[in-house]
This record gives sequence, structure tokens and C-alpha cells, in this order.
Amino acid sequence: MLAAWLDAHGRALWWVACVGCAVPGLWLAFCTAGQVLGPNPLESLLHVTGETARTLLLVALSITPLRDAAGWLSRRVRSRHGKRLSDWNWLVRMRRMFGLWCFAYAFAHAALFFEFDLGRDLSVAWAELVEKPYLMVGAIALVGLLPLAVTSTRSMMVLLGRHWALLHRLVYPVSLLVLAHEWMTMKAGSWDAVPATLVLCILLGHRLLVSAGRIRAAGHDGVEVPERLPGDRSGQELRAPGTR
Amino acid sequence: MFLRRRPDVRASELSPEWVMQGRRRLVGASAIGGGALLLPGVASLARAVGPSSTGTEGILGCSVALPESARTVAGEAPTPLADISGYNNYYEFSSDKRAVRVLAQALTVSPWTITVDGEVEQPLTVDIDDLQRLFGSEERTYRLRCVEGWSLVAPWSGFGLCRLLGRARPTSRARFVEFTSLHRPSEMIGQRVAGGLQWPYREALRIDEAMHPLTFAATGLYGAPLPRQNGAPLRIVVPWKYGFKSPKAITRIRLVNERPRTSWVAAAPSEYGFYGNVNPDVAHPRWSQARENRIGELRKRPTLFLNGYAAQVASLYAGLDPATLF
Repeated sequence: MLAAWLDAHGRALWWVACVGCAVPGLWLAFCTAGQVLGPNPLESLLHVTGETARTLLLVALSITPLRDAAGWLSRRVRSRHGKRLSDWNWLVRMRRMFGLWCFAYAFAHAALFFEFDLGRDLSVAWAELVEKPYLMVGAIALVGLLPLAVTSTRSMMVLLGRHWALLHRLVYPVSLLVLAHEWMTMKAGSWDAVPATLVLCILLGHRLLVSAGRIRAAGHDGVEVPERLPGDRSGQELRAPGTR
Repeated sequence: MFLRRRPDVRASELSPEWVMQGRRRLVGASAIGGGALLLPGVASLARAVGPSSTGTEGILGCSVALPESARTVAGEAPTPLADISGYNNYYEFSSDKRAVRVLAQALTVSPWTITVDGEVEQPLTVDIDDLQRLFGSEERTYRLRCVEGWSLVAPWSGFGLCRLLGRARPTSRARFVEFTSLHRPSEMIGQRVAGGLQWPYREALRIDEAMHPLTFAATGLYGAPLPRQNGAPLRIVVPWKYGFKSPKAITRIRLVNERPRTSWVAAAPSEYGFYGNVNPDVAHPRWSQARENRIGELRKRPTLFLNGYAAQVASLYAGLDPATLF
């Protein structure tokens, strides 16, 4: 049974995905060291880090719809394992890792731009930030990702309690800013951002439909089940001691 | 000759030092030759000088020799051929700069003719194989700055465009020069895809810009025939303007009285202007033009005003607002 096998090997899958996320960065490091980044090295560095960050953000955003879809599919094929939302918790546990990798690539993207394009000059950076909307949009998106990365630890989840989920809804406006940033840097006549835009529309559209009650999120009354510790299948929400 | 004394001399009519020296050499040469014998290029130049409002008094033409500093790029090796021919903006094939090298090999570049017509006394059609015999061949190493923010140094070979235009003898009504690139969707795959640009690609210059000795018609690169992805068999190179003003695979040059509607201006008028002069102080609406990526270098460098050719061409634009010159 596929669902059962995936559930049993959740930790191994986590490691495979984690190493996979590191591949673009390692590839860039390898190409930089070998000076084979191509005719425009800075462009290569900025494009790869930016596109990887954007892709990982979409991957992280696709976990919830994917889990809903997987549960629905398991019920349709009358699978013994995988009908419950909690059967797919291994998928949810990957989300933090994807989100943190996304932040790491976004940070590298901004750092490379600051170092090699702006020449590490703060006054130039400020002048361009104020003047160029695409830079401001990208910077706001990065600043928006920062609290999500900082509060990704388990202790922060416990500390924030129910506010944690609220705070992490910040990812929705951030994802819109990321795509806006990508469209704004694109030269006229280029359509490279279309696939990512379509995917984001589907992912955000799913949440809109769920919140509008048009489709039922698997298992629950439309409220997403927060991430749990490995082995925790109780279905209880994580709560800080003393909270409701 | 064409330095007339007027009480209200405009700054655009004043010539830079190097031009003055060239003219003095010329005057000396014609004095030796009896004074009445003018070089053919000068004759056509004199005709091109008319009562037009675009400042055609400033037309230089091929009679003026360029200083060595404008024909080479000092203190910098040319960009490797593999990079110049592997990183190309050529929408007729693709908007992917790394894909153009492969896709452009489908282009048939022979037979090929270039037609010069419009406001000329002598319309002509020249076979690509006759260009060298008619106009000679020389080397020019120029900086090329793309509007996207990257740049390179390319050793072109070819001839001054003024030689070809001079042969057609522009009339006094010729105020602009329009270049039309090849339209052949059967070989140019990008022309089959509905995109932002209208085909054929059109670019244009003011007549004094087109006649300027810096403006070059390139048929070769690194001493070999021009690679297809770089605009074979003939492209225009205008080194003080952004790369989109240097059209590739030219088939027709038309001299006109009204400013032509050029491809990028038509496609995105808010982002591309007619002049397209390199200027670090005038930003593209979306990104800064203050710095550029020299191909092969990781760290950006400052962009030079008029791409470093201000000593030669700044006088063409004296009195005009720099913001309109993008």
C-alpha cells in the first residue's frame, strides 16, 4: 500500500527532500568555484536563487491542498490506509523544511544582489529601494518571510499557541508579492513567470474555496490541522500551557 | 565650409576638438588638390546639409577620421568569442539569450542583398558579396551595452555606414534612416510565435547619427564572418546606444523625412524610447541603468555616459533634455 509505505518511511522521505532542496545551492557553489556560471555569472546566481526560493514557496503552499487531495483520493479508491488526514502528517512535517529552505534561498538572493549588483553600498541600496518598485516589493516579501522563519521552531509554536497559525497566514500576501516581484523584473515579451503564476492561483484558489465553504477540507471543518510532533497522532492542537 | 558664422550659434553646432582637427586636415588636403576638388563623401555631405530642424549642420560623415581611442577599447581585452556568440538577444529566434546560438543556425545568409532607397538621389541594391569591394573593410572594437544591464566588448569588422549611405546620396529631405531586418518565419522560429514584437524588426536613427563615423555596418566578428546569432550577414552597430538600436540581419535601409515607428517603441512605448542613448542617470522605468554586468564578470561596474563615446557624440544632443534621449 503506497500510503502506508510513505507514512512508514516519512523520515527517510524528509531527508531525501532536504538533500534535494540543497541541490541548486550546491550546484551554484560548484559552478562558482569552477567559474562555469556562463556569460553572465551574476544573472545566473540571481535567477537560480530567486527561482528556487519561489518554487520552494509554492511547494510549501501545496502541502495542505495535496494532503486534502491525497485523503480524498484514498477514500475514493477505498484504500485501508490514507483516508484520515493524520495519515498524511509526514507530508506536513516537510513543510517547515521547505519553508526554511525557501527563506535561505531568498536571503541568498538578496545578499548576492546587495554584494555584487549594489556593490555593498547602503546609500545606493536605499536610493534604489525607494526608486524601484520591484526592489521594494522583493524586500517586503523577504521581510515578510523573516518572522515565519524565526517562529518555525517548536518552542515558538508552543509559545505563540493559536496566534502561530494566524501569523503564518502572512505567507499568502508574501506569495503574491513574490510573484509580483518576478513579473516586474521580467522584460517585455517574456512569459517565464506564467507557470508559477498559474500554480499559485490554484493553491490560493483552493484556500479561498475552502474558506468560502465551497469545497470541504478533508477530515475537519475547514480548519487546517497544525503540524505535530513525530508520532503524535492524537489530533489535538498544539497549545501553549495555560492557553485555552 | 559648413562652419557658418551666426550670432546665435547653438551648442549642437559646435564641433568637438577632434572633429575640428579632422576638418583642418581635410581643408589642407583639398587645398593641395587645387581647392576645387572635394572628396565624394564631402560632396554628399554638403548636400545632406539642409534647412532641417534636426540639426543636420552637425552631420560628420566618413570624411572625418576617428581617433584611435574611439576605434578600440583601451585597457580591456575583447569579450571571448564563445560568450559574444553564446549570449544573444535576438527575438526573431528566441527571447532566451542562450537558445539563440542554436536556433539561429537555421538561417540562410546567402544569397543576400541590401537595398538603400527612400529620400536618396541614387537608390541602390548591393549584393552582400560586393560590400567589401565597394566600401572596404576595417576593424572596430566597441563596447556594447544592452538595455537589460549587461555589456561586452566586441571586435567587429566591416565599414562605416556613412560609406553606404553616401553612395546613395541622401536628399535634403532625408532626416531619418530606417533599418528593416529580415522577415522569414520559415527560418526564424521566433517570428512564428505571437509575441510582443511586430515583424519585421525595425530600427531607426536620425540622419546625423546614421552618418556619424562611429556608426558601423558589421559583417564580421573576431576577423571571421559574422556568426548568424550575432546578425549575419550584416548588422548595424551604434556603440553609444543600447543594443536594441543595433539591428541584425539588415535587408533594407530607407531614408525618410518623418521619424519612423521602431519595433521596441511600438511594443513598449513606456519602456523604450527612440533615442536609446546609454545614460547611467536615466533609469529604465523598472530598473536602474547606473551599473552594468560586463560579460564574464561577477561584480557590476558603473555605466559610462553615452557608453564612453561622449567625446565623439555628445555634441549631437547638446541642448536636448537627457530624459528624452532614452
